[in-house]
Amino acid sequence: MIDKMKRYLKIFFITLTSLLLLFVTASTILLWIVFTPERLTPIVSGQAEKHIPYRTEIEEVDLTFFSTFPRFGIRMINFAMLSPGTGAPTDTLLKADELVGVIDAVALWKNRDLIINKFILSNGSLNLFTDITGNSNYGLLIAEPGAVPEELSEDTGFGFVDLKNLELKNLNLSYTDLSSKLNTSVTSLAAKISGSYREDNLKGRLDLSNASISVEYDGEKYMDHALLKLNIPFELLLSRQLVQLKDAFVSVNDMAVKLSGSIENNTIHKNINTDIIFELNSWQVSDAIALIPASFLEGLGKIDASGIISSRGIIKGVISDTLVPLMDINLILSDGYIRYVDLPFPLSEMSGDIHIFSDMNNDTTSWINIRHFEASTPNSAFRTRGKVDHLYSDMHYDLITDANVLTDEFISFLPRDINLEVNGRINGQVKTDFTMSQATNMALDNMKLSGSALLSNFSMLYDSIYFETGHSQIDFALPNPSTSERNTKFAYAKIASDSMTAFKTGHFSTSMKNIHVFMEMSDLRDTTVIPDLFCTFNIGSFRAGMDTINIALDQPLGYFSVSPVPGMPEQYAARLAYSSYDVAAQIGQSFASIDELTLRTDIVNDNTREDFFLQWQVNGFLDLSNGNISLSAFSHPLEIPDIKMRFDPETFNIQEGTIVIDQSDFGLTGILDNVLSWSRGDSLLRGDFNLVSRNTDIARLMSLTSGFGTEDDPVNREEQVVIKNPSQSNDNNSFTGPYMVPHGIDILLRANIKQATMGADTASNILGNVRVNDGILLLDALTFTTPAADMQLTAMYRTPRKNHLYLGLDYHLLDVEISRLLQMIPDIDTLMPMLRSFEGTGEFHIAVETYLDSLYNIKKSTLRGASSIRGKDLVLMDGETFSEISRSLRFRNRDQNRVDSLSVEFTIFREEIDIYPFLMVMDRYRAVVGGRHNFDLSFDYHISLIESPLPIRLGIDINGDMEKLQYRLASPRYAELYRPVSRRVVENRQLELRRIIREALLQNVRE
Amino acid sequence: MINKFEAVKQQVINSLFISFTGMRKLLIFLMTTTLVAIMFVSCEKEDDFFDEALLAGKWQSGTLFERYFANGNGYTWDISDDVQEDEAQNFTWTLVKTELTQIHIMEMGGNLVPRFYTVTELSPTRLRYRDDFGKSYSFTRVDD
Repeated sequence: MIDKMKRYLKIFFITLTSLLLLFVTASTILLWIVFTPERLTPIVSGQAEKHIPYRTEIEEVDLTFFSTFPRFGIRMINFAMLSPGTGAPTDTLLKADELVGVIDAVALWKNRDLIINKFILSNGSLNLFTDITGNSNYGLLIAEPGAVPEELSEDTGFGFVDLKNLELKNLNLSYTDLSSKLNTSVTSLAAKISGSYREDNLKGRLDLSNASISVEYDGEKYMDHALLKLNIPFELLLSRQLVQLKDAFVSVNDMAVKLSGSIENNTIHKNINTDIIFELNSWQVSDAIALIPASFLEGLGKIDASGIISSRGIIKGVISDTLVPLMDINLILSDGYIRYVDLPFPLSEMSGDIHIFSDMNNDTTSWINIRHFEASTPNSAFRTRGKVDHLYSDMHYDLITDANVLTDEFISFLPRDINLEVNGRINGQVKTDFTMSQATNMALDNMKLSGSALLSNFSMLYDSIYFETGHSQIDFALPNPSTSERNTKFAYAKIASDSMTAFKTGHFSTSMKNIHVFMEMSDLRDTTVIPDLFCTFNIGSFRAGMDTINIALDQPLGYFSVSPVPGMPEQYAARLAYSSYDVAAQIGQSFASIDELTLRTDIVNDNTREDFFLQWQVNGFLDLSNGNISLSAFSHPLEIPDIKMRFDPETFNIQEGTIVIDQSDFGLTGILDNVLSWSRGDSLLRGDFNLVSRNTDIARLMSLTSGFGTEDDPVNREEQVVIKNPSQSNDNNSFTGPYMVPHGIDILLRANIKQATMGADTASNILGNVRVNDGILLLDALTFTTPAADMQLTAMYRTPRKNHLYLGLDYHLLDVEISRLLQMIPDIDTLMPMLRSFEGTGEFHIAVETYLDSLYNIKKSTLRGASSIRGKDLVLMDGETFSEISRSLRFRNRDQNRVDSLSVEFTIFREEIDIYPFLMVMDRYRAVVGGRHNFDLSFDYHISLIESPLPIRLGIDINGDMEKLQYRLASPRYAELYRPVSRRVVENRQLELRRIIREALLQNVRE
Repeated sequence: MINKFEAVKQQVINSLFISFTGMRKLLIFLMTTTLVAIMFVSCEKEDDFFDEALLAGKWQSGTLFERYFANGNGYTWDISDDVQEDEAQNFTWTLVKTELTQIHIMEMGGNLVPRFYTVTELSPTRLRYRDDFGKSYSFTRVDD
């Protein structure tokens, strides 16, 4: 069986070989004998001349069989098509070393079907040229626009055209169009084209396996030897000029795009309908950038970029002069990196997934959806997501961005003219919802911005203002999402920080620790309306300084708010509730400290007023504990153990108030009223206070209030001088200038002072009223006790100007030791030196007034006074005057004499003291004494001896001065003074005046 | 008791002795004094008086000024103490014949400081007076 099979096979192969040999033999004869090049070349050349509008040159044409087996083909060697005289660089339009064509001659003969089984062009070149006027060297080859190619028209008579294989091998193509400044060249083109045409339908495939393409437009190279690969299956419906692609492959420098869909040239509407799906995968960004013309990147300098881009999408719609197709594109970037000159740092680790949907025309159908995009710098990273729409009108951004930024990296983005340095890290998230116009116009009231940021080791230097924080968490939102009833919908911010420091060199500095601040507000930028602002704060510690002012607070806690007054939108209303511990403040050389401070206040601002107190009307409550104030003007601190005070624009109500100054202590309660009216000038500032003190240093009080409220008077031309405590006991008690009583106020101080000191003098149980009334200081019937006596003092001190100070005294000493009286008031010795000669107790009344200069020197021309002295059982001391008198009058007891009674009235006028004649009984004498005593210590006394051992009445004139007294016997002037029946008019008048003087003095004595 | 009686008796004798021996001298002294007194009284110009209308006006004595108003008020100031006229101190005055009385009223408490002077000259341009202690003052009228 096997042998039989072998035999049949042997016969088959022998038969087949014989047939082949016969066929080859016949073909060889046909090729080499019948269709020789010498016969074919003229025929083909003739046909070429007939059908090709340009001159052609064919070196040789032969018939192929073996190379086109099993079909016969025609091969042309060194084919050239010439188009001379067009201005082209070369006359050669087309040139090929070899052209081979195989046509199905049977189909053409039987069915008039044009079946091109093979067309191969090898080692050729195609040179297309259009001059600047639009004339080209290939114009005769192309039909008029819109015309159907003749060979494809029905007139050609081909029932079916089938291009099975068109192959281009090593074709160099150049296209120069001077009119459009386009210069394109393709070298080493290798392509295969196949297709078929039947009934208006052209189907085919273009497979360009290799081409190096260069494109230059207007001197700019758009491609430079780019490696182009195509594999495009297509179907062309010629009548509709519709191209359909399916899985077409286009690659430039190995950047491939897959295309599917259709493109139709609508000649009626003169537009192009597209419906293309494309997909590109893993493009290297660097390769893509390399395709971008250099001029496009000129502004960016050298770009160093990498990464992988992938995309797929749909381009669908009409392309015309006015329309762009709808693009639905997904773009994915990974491992991105870019660095160029203007970017101060490289961006790395870029990745993104972006969906672009746009018809490039209509806002409603155009948007960019950033599913995610992130990038990193050497020290920062950010990530964003969201949507951008209204791309072609007012772009709208709805984005959420997370960033972890080292601010140092971004400082170079700021304009150079902004002198700003920023350091530190910001980590947080920002939500933005705004349009470009809103951002441009800073329409924050319409924008939505919110986020949370953590500032770490952050510092900022703007000009000379420096700010830094260790760690600060800042939450903010525009608008304010809370449901607060206040008109603070614009924004809110919440700050939690471990530390904040800010300063401007030479101006201010401030630092805070453990900060918790919450704020919500209306739009503060609108300065034409009063804003609404609400802020709560809880701060661990606060320090601030400006110029010579420093303040330190521990745990300041509270809130404040500002809003327009309801119904009066142009006026402020503010509310502050504040408490803190360990308050310390310094102003220059003055210091203050407070252990605990609580303040609640409502403030209403009336900006129509000019005066400060009228502009700011304040209600509230102040509670202060353990305050300590050291003022530069005082040598001792002012201690404030406690103050509780309510205040409103009109009234300050001190409910509790204790102050300690050096050795003085004060408990002050009462009301200060008419504050607002006073500031308006409508009334006096009135005060009614109770002052309780265990010990008061009067000199300190005077220095405390000296000069308050005194306006600069042009008459005050005296230089300020240093006035010291009259006691001179303590140099630190000095203060500058005379004490000027405040004007425009009426303050009543009901004093209850256990002990008061004025230098070395001490008074106790001081009861009475001290009143300061519009430039007048009045001690009204002040009663007190001194070691010498119980006293009553009414004093008035008025300060019209610094060198003209009024002092009036109404002084009553009851049951006073005369020696102590002289000790207490040495000036009385000057007024009435004879008192030095008495010992015992008496009563003393004096009213005196004078003006003083700024050094408190008496202006003697203004001195007025009246006094009354009463004494009983006085002992005449061994005084100089009366020693002489006792010797002259031969007193029985010249060492000591008792004066039964003494009643003296005298007046003071300028430098003269007039002693009204008074009766003095001593020893064996009754005498009436009167005269004048001058401030220069000169005397002019007269003693009328009205009762003596002598039978006559004598008078003695005593005059001169203490150094040189002169005694002279004279007639007794006052002999009848105490004899009513004998008095004359003058004597009666003197007695009457004495009575009037005394009664006027006594009427002021309080019972 | 006896000693006391003797002392009183001696005192009476002494008094009588003085009265007896000095009676004549005393009589002569008294007569002389009376005569002198009568002479002095007779020489005094009892009818001297000055027209108080001449007093109204502003008078100056060195740095001391006085201004009298016809209604009996007046004031005084001394510019050597840096006191201006609007800061002057008030008084009331009367002029009876030659006796000029100034009652200076203190600002506080209504206390009075009276001053008495005897006018020695009063003319439209000059005012002179002296006090009881012989201190004289001389003023000239000052135009406002």
